[in-house]
Order: sequence, then C-alpha cells, then structure tokens
Amino acid sequence: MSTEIPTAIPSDILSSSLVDIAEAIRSKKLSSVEVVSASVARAEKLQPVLNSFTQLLGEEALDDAKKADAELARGELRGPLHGVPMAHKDMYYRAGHRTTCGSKIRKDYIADTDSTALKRLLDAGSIYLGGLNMAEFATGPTGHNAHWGDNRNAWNPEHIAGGSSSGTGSSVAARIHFGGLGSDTGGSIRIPSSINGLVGLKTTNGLVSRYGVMPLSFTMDTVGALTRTVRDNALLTAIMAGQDPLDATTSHRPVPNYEAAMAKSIKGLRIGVPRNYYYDVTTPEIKALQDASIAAFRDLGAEIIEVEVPDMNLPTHMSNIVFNAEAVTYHGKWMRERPGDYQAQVFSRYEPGLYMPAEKYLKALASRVDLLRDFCDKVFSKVDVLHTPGLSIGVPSLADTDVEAGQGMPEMVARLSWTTRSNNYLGIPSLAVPCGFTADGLPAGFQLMGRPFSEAQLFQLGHAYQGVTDWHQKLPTLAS
Amino acid sequence: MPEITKERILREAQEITGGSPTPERAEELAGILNVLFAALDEASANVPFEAEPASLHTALDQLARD
Repeated sequence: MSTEIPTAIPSDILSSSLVDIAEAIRSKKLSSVEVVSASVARAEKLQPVLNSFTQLLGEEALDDAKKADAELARGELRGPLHGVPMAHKDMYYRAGHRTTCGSKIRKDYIADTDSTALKRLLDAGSIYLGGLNMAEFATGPTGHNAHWGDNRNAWNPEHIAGGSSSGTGSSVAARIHFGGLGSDTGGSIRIPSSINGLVGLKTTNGLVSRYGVMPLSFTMDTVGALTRTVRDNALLTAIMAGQDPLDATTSHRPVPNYEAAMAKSIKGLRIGVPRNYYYDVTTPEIKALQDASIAAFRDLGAEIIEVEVPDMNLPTHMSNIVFNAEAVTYHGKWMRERPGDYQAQVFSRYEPGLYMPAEKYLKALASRVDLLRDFCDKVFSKVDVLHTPGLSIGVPSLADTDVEAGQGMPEMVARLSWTTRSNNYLGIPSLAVPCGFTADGLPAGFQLMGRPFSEAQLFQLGHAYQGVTDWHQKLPTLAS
Repeated sequence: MPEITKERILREAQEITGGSPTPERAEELAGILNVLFAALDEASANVPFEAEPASLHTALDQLARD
C-alpha cells in the first residue's frame, strides 16, 4: 500500500480528542490529509504488533481526505466529523463493500445495504479508514480470533484487547484514530473499553438503529462507540441516535442535547454503590480503583448511597437463554452445514441454543419487563445512577484466556462479563469510563448505569469525572 | 429432576444437526441448560402468561425519566 505522508505532522495529532481534531480540520489548522495520513501511517506501523484491522483501506481513505479538504476549501462542510478518520468493528455494512464479521464464513461477504449508524457517521463527514478486528461474529469477550489472528492490547501486547469489539478498543487506545463503532450484546463495548482504558457506551435499546448491522442476538444487540473522552462519545452518539424508518425498534424520542447536559454540575446527583452481587468476583486491586473513583464523585458534590440490588444472576441467566435461542436463529443453518468453519469456542457458545425449547425462550422474553421494572424500582427509585466495576478483574493475558471450548470457558466468559451481561437483557444504558491502572500497568474502568434513555446524565457524570482526572490522557508506550 | 438430560440431547442431536456431540459434551450442555431453566422458573414465577407480554420498548419508554 503506498501512502503519501506529509513531512511535518505535529506529534500530538493522534493524541487529540475527536472533538478537538474535528475542530482543527474545520478551522483549517490541520488538513484532513494530514490527519488521515498520520492515522494510516500509525495503523500500518502497529498492525504487526496489535492486529487491530481486518481491512485497512489507506489509499481509499486518503482519496476521501483529499476530497474533504477540497470541499472545505470551497466552503462546504459535510457535518461535525468533516475529514476525521474513523475505523469501525467489521460488522457494519456498506453497500458494495466487504464486511467480514471477523469470520471465515463471511470473509468475502459483500453487503448490499448501508448500516444506518455508519451512514450517519459518514454523512457527518467522517472518513472510513477500515474494518476492525473483532471476535468471530461478535462472540467472545477476549479478542482471540483464529481466522484473523488474535487482537492484542495496546498497553501490553501479551494481554487481551477484550471483546467482542477488540479492534476498536486496541486501535483507539493506540491512538491510531479517535473513536469507532463497537456493538454490545453482553458487554462487547464496555469490556474492551475497560480493558483498553477507553470510554464506551452501551446505549438504551432503541436509541441507535441496528439496521445494516450483523445481528447476534436481535433483541439484545445495541450499537455504540468507543472513544477516549466522554465528550467524544457524546458527539458520536448524538450523530447516530434517533428514529430510523429502517429499524422498527428505534425510539421516536427526540435526541437530547448531550453537550448541554455535560455543562451542568453534578452536585446533588445520587450515585448508587451496590451492596450485593457486583463486587462478588472483584479483585482487591480493582475494588481500590473503584473506591477512588467514587471518592472523586463525592468530591465533585455527588451524593453516594449504598443500595441493595435485585439478584442479578436472574437477568444474567435470562440473557443467556435469549442469546442462545437468537444466535442459533441466525447461525443454525451454518452450524449444521459448516460447523468446521467456526472456532470451537464460538460454536460451543451457540450450541445450547440448538436444544432450547421455544417455551423457554418465550418465557425468558416474557419475563423481561417484570425484571426491568423490578430493577428500576429497587435501584433507580433511590439513586440516579448505579456505579459498578466495568471489569471485575485485572486484564488477563492472551495465554491465560486461550481456552478454546475447554472446561474453563464458561467460567472465564462469566467473570469477564459479570457486571455487563444483565444490562442487555434489561435494555438500560451503561457508560464505561477509565479509572486508573493496576500494578502491571494495564487499565481499569468503572461503569455507570442509568434509567432507560438517561444517556445525557451518564455523559454528564462521566464528563465531570474526566474533568478532574487524567486517566484518559495517559498514553500507551507504543503510542508515545 | 433435570429438564434436559444427556440422553435427550444425544437423541435429538441427530435430527437437529445431523451430527452428534460426544456424551461428555452432551452432559455439559444438559448441565448448562438446566442451570438456565432453574433460573427461568424463578424469574418467571409471577409472570401470568395470560396475555401477550408487555413490549420491552414500551416499558423502556415508560420507565425513562423525562
């Protein structure tokens, strides 16, 4: 691939926030070509180390950057992301282009439609840098992928990048680009966010269209972004959110002004800290980092309240029933005809669904609203948001989590998604925010969850926290 | 009394998939499913199933605080 790199690239271009880089391009302090060139150069340099991309489209991106600069020179601004390079989990369809879904089965799949979420980001002026590595068919919390190669952590390549949005996590953390799409069906945005020191939003079901996105569990899949700052995440969410005639499940609610929400003080907001469940498997080191983040919120004027939460094992188990049944709805034909084309660990995650009676699936769906109401009643009648660990344990190594479909696999998945999985069944939003590093230099994060459609409040709190901490500004060695 | 047994999975597998898991895997699958079904009994104990279940999306909208 030939890329023409301008000679004088300020060294901190790629460490800027997405909001700042968009402003720099808009105000012509930087050209889109300069920024895209820097992104492509770093992507090419780090690909052998991190394996973040399934397809890096450098030449196409540079051509688009030239067009963006020409448009700007004519006074034409496409939108708030004009000329900003972005890369996305390789499961968002673009008509006429390849979307691999991190799989062997779809390695040459050419989509015939555009994903609404991706199209809105492109229509806002962003440049498509490429498709990002991911767990096969978005199934798996570690970033192992036998088809496309394991994805590695930007802070220490011997450790996992998390999953299933592994490439988005590692590439944004490595300062290859500024933010990108993930998807979250059980923690697939929040887990790699915590593991890579990033901000990640699991949106309320219905906030962002899933049209043109590879399905995994079609009643629990959600679309959202991974970024380095909360403000960046709010910008991308605002662009993507809102009703879509192509996805009947999208909400008709107006999209709030997230920027205005983030300008408000958090004084007096009530932050719940769970007495039960959420810390059951948390290591002492992660607990200490959570405590420090709670103290920061207290110092900012928030009220900290301990709360008893419902038995979260129930929604977690219900999510597994729904996941199994819906995954085999999509995968059943391939599982019967091409079982050898799946990794064993992915096939084994879907396999219980083959023996799932319809009665059980429908009962699990029918119980959903009851459990949601119970959770809101027991938690959000007392507090505005609930604060929990984003990941309960330190970031594991690739070797320690390379369990294929072995005996330890269900336990490993359960530990990594301990705090995240239930939210997809309940449908409520959660924001992962970085809150420090463990002794081995790997990131940790907390998670804020709120009532349905309370993303504005989650952004408000996360933005306030990032205003008094600098975890999001720390650079991995390979990006500095 | 488990709802799903290794024997049932082995019996149904041929029809469903055209293949068959090993007896050990069938036992593991039965174990996974029975844990989920026990939780389902608890979660759905008070759900009447006498009318079409409420829509999650309607409930999310109702439970939002505007």
